[in-house]
Amino acid sequence: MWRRSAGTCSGRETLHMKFPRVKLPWPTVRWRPRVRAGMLIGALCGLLGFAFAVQVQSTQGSTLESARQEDLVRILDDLSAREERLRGEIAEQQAARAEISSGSNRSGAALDQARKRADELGVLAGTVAARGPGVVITIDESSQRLPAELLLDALEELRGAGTEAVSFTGGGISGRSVEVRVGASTWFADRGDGIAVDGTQLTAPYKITAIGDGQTIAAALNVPGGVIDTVRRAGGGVRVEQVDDVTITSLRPIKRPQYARPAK
Amino acid sequence: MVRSRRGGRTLSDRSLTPKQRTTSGLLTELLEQHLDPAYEVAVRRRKADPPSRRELRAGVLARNLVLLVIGTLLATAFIRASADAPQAARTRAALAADARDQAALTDRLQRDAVGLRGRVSAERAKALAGSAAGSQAQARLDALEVAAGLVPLRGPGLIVTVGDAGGKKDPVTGDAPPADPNDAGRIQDRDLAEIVNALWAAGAEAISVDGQRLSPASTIRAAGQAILVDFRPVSSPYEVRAIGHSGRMQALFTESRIARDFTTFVQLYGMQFTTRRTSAITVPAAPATSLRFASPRGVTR
Amino acid sequence: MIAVAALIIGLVLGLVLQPTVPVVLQPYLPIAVVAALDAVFGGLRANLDGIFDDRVFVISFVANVLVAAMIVFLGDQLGVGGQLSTGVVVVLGIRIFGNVAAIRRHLFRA
Repeated sequence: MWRRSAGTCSGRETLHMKFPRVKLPWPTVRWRPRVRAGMLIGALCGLLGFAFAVQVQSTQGSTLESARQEDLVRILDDLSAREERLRGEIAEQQAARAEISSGSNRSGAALDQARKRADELGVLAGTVAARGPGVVITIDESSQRLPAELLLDALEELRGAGTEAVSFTGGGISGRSVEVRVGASTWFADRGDGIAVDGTQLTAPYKITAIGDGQTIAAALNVPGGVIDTVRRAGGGVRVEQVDDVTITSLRPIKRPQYARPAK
Repeated sequence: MVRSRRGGRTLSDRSLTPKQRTTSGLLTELLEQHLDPAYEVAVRRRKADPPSRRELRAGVLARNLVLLVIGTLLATAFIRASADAPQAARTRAALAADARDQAALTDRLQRDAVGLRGRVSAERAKALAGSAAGSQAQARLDALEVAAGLVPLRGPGLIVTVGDAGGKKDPVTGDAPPADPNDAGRIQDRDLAEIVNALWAAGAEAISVDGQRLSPASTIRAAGQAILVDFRPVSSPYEVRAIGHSGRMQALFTESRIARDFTTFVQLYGMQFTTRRTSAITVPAAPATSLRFASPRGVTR
Repeated sequence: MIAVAALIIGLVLGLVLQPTVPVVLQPYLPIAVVAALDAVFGGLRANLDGIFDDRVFVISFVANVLVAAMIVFLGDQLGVGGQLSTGVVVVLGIRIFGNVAAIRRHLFRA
């Protein structure tokens, strides 16, 4: 094909020599050329419109498109942690099912399982006393009163560090210290001289007891912009103490939901 | 004056100054003449002075050698480019695609986990139904599963929708510009946490953020500018659903500090903030957490 | 025919041997590739036009690659490396486009 021609063949003749007309093996419909062309043009326009619509749709992406690169890396890390946790849960459930579906003592095994599971959920929900390693955080305020958002941030940071049971202790109305157990619906609000935790008034100094991985929790609290940083900037004092064994005895009452019903 | 078919001036237009002729020549040459003119010159040269056999053979050899080199060059460049890809910073688009896929995977795993949980619960309930102790244990377990957020719930309530200020998009690519950390119109994880806090204070019984149920262990945190709920990225606009007495919740919530702040933010920064009462919303179940550090103490049966 | 074979053999050699490019030359590899492609398509078109010449092909390839690399190198020294390399790529790209269009006209008569 790359033969050097002596310049005697013209382009068109070269074409004929190299690419003879191919006969298609199937019968081609002999429509009028104009109808065929029109259909072809219509099909191509349809394709173009489709591609246009797809592109417009895809550009209405989520936040992920606009996140920075380093953020995406952290998001991927977090998603991996989530995947690991979910796979762990699935494995546990499968083990639980194996326990209660085999063997002779089905109801006995089921009873044990139900009790153990209820206790664990109770620890998470705050209705069962808990014990384990963790941290004790003491927050003192100086002249500047600490806002409720501070304790809210602290709780979010603790949850992010994987704590399994948390309680807030502070001065109560009667003068004695009061301990409030944390659950999913725990809320904070400025009230009076201090902060109301789940409606219970507490005054500084506050003590937060959390059960979990002490090192992870301490690291999470020490990040710049975190709770420790904020308290110190507000002039308060904060101390984090890692402990091997701490017990949280305060409980939350189990409230039956009045408006929410299980959905099937 | 010679006019071309298009009616414009051509190179042979004598009324063009030499400078104009050269300038239009450069552009014309770029846009019209893509083949090296040396080929045509070579044709004429060959006609005038036909090459010898030796020159022909040398020419063929040189040509094939060059083609060999070109092939090697292309292959090397291809290998170089594909080897650099993992080292060179992967584009945002590739990372974002990965994150989307991973999020979809975890969503699927969540559905599987919830389904499996349901089946195991059903079997356990059957096994416990026989005895009094069993029924008691089952009742306690049911109540605690609800308290821990492991049961999907439905009921009347409030839907609070907050969103970042207006979406700026690059008109050419359609991409949103990279997040600006100093953008005051951007919702942060703290804002969402405070809205959730105000809803709990207003009497909510169950809350979900963008489809993620809040359990005792749920986290709302930020990875840079992105917000993650329970380690799953969520995007603006954020829909917070709260089940409870819708009228009372709305009254208490709109009085709260964060709701009033947001009403101001809407005017100042153009954020979105709406509160809507509804008679039926559903919130899904949360992923379960197992205890790794805490152990129950002194449990009463 | 031998020409196509030579190209393919070169590709295979490159994929198999995986020659390491000296670090100094690495930034010029992409531009060399584009210049080489321009020479290849130019040669292909010349062949279809019937005016192919070995000597012109070889010299055009060598000159293209050298000139493109030199322009980019100069640009780097002057501080306009990015812009000059964009310019070179644009020009070579236009030429490739034009030659491919002519080839298409030959092959499909359209």
